[in-house]
Order: sequence, then C-alpha cells, then structure tokens
Amino acid sequence: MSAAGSQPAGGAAAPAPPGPPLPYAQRPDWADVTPVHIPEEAVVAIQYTAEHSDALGYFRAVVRSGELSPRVLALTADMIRFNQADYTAWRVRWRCVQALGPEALASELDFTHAVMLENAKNYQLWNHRRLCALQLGAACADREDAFTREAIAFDEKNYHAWAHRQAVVRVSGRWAAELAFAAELIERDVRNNTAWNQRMFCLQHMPREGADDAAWLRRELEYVAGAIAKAPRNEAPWRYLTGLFATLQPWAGQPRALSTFPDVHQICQEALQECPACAPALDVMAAYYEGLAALGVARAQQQLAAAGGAPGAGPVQGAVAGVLHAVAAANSALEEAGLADPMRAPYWFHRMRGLTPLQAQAEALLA
Amino acid sequence: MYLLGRLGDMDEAAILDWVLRCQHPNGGFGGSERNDPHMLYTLSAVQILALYDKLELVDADRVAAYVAGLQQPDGSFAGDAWGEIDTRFSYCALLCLSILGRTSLINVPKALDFISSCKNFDGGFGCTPGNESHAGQVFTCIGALALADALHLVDRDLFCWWLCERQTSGGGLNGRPEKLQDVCYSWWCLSCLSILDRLHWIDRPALTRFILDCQDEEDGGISDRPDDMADVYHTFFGIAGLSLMGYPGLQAIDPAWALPVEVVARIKRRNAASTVGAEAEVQAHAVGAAAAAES
Repeated sequence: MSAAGSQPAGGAAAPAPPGPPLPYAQRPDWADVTPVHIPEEAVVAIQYTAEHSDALGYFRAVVRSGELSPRVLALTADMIRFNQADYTAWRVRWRCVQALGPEALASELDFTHAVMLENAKNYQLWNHRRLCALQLGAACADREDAFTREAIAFDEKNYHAWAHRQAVVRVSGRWAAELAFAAELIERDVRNNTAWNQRMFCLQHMPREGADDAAWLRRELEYVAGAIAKAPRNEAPWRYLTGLFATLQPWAGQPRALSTFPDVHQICQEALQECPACAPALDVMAAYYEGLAALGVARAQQQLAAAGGAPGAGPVQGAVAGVLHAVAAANSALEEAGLADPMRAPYWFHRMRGLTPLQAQAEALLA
Repeated sequence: MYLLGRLGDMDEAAILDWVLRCQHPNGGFGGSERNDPHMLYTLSAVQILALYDKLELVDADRVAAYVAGLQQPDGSFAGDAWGEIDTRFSYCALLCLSILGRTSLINVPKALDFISSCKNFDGGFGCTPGNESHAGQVFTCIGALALADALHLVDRDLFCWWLCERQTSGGGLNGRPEKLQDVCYSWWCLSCLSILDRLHWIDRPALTRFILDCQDEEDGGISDRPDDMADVYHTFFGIAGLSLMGYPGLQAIDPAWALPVEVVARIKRRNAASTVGAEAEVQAHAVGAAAAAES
C-alpha cells in the first residue's frame, strides 16, 4: 500500500501514541477490510498525500460494502479533514449518523463546528449541519444561533450562515429574535445587504404589530431614513425601501404605492441635501414622481369620463398639469442621476424614455 | 479552450474516456471515478461531450432519467441523493436536459415556480426562497428561465439595474452590494444582461480593462483581481466575459447555454433532427397500426 511505512509503526497494545495516527493499513480494527485502490489517472491526476491515499482505499471499500458503523463515521471524519468538499464522504457520514441514532446526531454538532472553524464557506458543511439541525427540530434554535453568530462574526456576509438562520427560524418560529439579530448586524454595519435581506425576510413571514398598516409602514420608513442618514449612497437601504412597497401586502397589490407615501419624497430630499449627487436618492425620487404621474393619468382619465369626454373641463386640465409637472420632476431627477453616475448613463436614459408614454397619455387627454 | 480556438491542443480521447468512466449505472456522473453521481458533474460531463460533438457516446435516456429523478415535489432540484437544494441545480437540470433534448421528462412549470419563489425584492434571485440575491445565483436562475422560454417572469428593469449596479468604480463587477469586484462576476452578471438584452447598461470598455489587468503576464492565466494568483476558474470566466463583449479573436459564447454559439447551434440541429425522426417513427407506427386495423 502506498501509505505503508510512511508513519512510525506502533504496537497494537500500546496506549494511543501522541504522534500522528496509524495508517489504516496498520490498524487492527480495520484488518478485516481490504482497501480498494484505483490506478493513477492520466487526465486529471490528483496529488493525494500518503495519508489521504491510505484512508481513501478503505473508504472505497466501505462504500462498496455499504457498512455504516462508528468506525466508518470516524473514517469519514478523516476523509473530510483531507478534503472538506468530498461530498461522497459527507453523504456516507450522514447515512452513518442516521443509522447510529440520536447520540451520533448530537455529536455531529461538535464535528461540524470544528469543520466550520477551518472553513466557514464550505457548501457540504452547511448542508450537513442543516440536515442535523432540522432533524433536531425547534430545540436546535439556541445552538444554531450561537453557531451561526460565530460564523457571521468572522464574515458578516457569510451567505451560508444567513441561509442557515432562515432555515432554522422557519422551524423555530422565533421571528422577533431574528428581526432583532438583523437589526443588530445593520447597526454594526449599515452597508450589510445580507442583514437587510434578512430583515425583509422576517417582515414577510412574521405577524405585524398593530392594526394600522400605514402607521406600521411609516415606522419602518423612519428606520430606513435613519440608516440612509448614516450613509446616503449606501445601496442596501434604498433597495430595501423600494422593496417594502414591491414585496409586502397590501402595498405590493396596489398601483404605485410608493408614490402614495410623501415620507418617501422626504427621505430622498433629506439625502440629497446631505449629498447632492446621490444617485440612489435620485433614482427613488424619479420613481416617486413617475408613480405620481401614472396615478395622475389614471385620475385624469376618470375625470374625463365623468365630464362626459369634454377635454376642456377644469378638473381634467388640473390633473393633466399635475401629471406634466410630475413627469418634469422625474426627468430632472434622472438627468441629475446621469451626471452623478455617468457609468450607468444608458440606464438613466432608459428610465427617461419610460416617462415619454406618460407625458403623451396626459397630453392626449387635452386634445 | 474552445473559445480560444484551441480545443485540439488537448487529448480528446483520454478526456472522453475518463469522463465516461465517471458515469454510474444510474446514468449520473461523479466528480471523479470514485465519487457518487451528482448533478454538477453530470452537467459537466454532458457539456464536455457536447463540446466534442460526442453526445452519442452516452445513453441520453439514462442520463436524463437520473437528472429528472432529482426533481422534488415543489419543483426544485436536489444536487444528488444527499438532498442539498439550490437554484444552481435547477439550472443544471434544465441545461442538461436541453442539451439532451429531453426537457419533457421534468415538470417545467413547477421548476419555474420554484425559481420564481426565489425572486427577491431587488429583482434578483437567491439559492432558496428568502436567500439574498447573489450574482452567481442570478445567472443560474436567469439561465434556467431563458432555457425554458420564461423570461417574462423577470422584473427586467429592476433586475438589470441591480446587475449594472454591480459595476464598481474599478470597472470590475461584484456579486453583492459592498463586496469586492471579482473577474468571475464578469460572466455571472454579464450573461444575464446579455440574455435580457441590456449588455449596454454597463461600461464595457472599463470591464474589459479590468479583466485584462487580471491576466498574469507570465503564465497567461486570469485571476480574481489584479495581482492575485491566476487559476483555471477565473481564466474561464474572464475569457467568457470578454467573449460576451465581442472581444476580438474569441469564439462567441451563448449566455444561457454557457457553451460556444456554434456548439449550441449544433445541439439544436441534432435535437431537431431526432425530434423529426421520432415523429416520423410515431407516424409510421400509427400508419402501420391503422393498416393492421384495416386488414
């Protein structure tokens, strides 16, 4: 065997040697297994270490025999230590855990913790941990909170850790605590888009306090305004702001709900006072006016119908004037955005072109 | 290598032989001979066979059955028998079955429902419902929607604005807000903009300069950022990004199929021919049956 002789040989009866572990080929408890070795590959030869190659021979053998036992569990730990992305080793490990019962499941939490400390961005690790956590059910919540906090303390945007928290909170139902966690991380770094996403995720699932939706939304907008005041160009809260209207009911089901909240206009204005060339503020400002224009066109059309189709009627003219004013305001916000952010000039131009139909519809009402 | 016009520089027979040895009796392919079958490597194997125009070397029905078997009741796809769910696997499944001309084996509307459920408030997509939008993930979702002819499910302006916001002042693209620019996103973001016909929304000369700045002057490879170590992964994404922008000397790449345009055309001809063949067979069978009934 390729690994034989690479380690100092120790007697079977000797106490656990302090040095490196024995190769599998020399372990008495593996003597009944014949390792399976595959000839070297010419196309994509993998440079296995002697230790890895030794363990791999035994791993292939147990995959073939289908053995699920404590020693196979220990073997998979070695395999994963050699290569954390070895999805076959992880899968065999999970099958062992299931076969060995609740104690094995509990000790997986320590095992995955140790792996996470080495590499917190490994896909297999997080899938395995999720399988374990979900099998433990709601009782896992505290431990998973601590586990993910550790990963997130190291990398505040660790995608896997935040996704894991989502999976856990769906089971535990601790929505208020999750919202508080997202707020805590936003407080720590207002630019953490992952934390903003988590906040939206919570709001989509948790019951809303109080009966007055509009009052609730205004409080949420105050929160957003506070974050924008800290860093006006920060993309995350601006997307979150427009996302509130696009995602949450009842606003998502209403036409142009964003433009029915003057708070939005105020947030943009305050940001622009602080930072005049703030592209995201100009973007939302333009969206606000564009929405006002669209709502105005609808209103003017209703008034025209009410006036029996007479375009000269006073209310129709007033509504049309309002639309044209809103279109002009949206246009000027977009022009400024194009100057503030020339790299994305084609986008700003596209947005301006989107205003043309609104203007044409309004003018047609006067004809 | 195909994009560079140098596919012939590698040992085709040895590559194909090895790929075929990674196949399991259930039709799926593992990452190497000893690994379990997995969606990711099954797609890679099929892509390699398509690049060499050697799809006939595998039993398409068997490969397709493996892929289709990973679809879940909610329409999503698992990566393998271990059960990890991710929109990446939805794309892999749709692309693999599109190449094999066998998308009819899965429930496409349900697959689209799952992808839609991963759409976020910023117009982007994540791994599973509620997960943050991520540029790598959005490629898999937009690619899957494009393959299934379902781009109407995309909030085009909102999403493309999110995509072009990924361009940083350095010219490169990042994968999420406030993250570092990285060459790999030249493919993930650019392919989406190309599929959605908004490639002109980003500053292409600035991105081209960024990618070229990441090339190692000695070994030729491309790294994630200027002055980092070059690797195969970033070299592919850099070349693919340049190809999408029409950089001279490169073969054109198809943004949804992630394969050279020429290869995609060949696959489509192949599938159209086999459909016509199958229809003719069905028809002949029907005629035969009718004749038998008459006699």
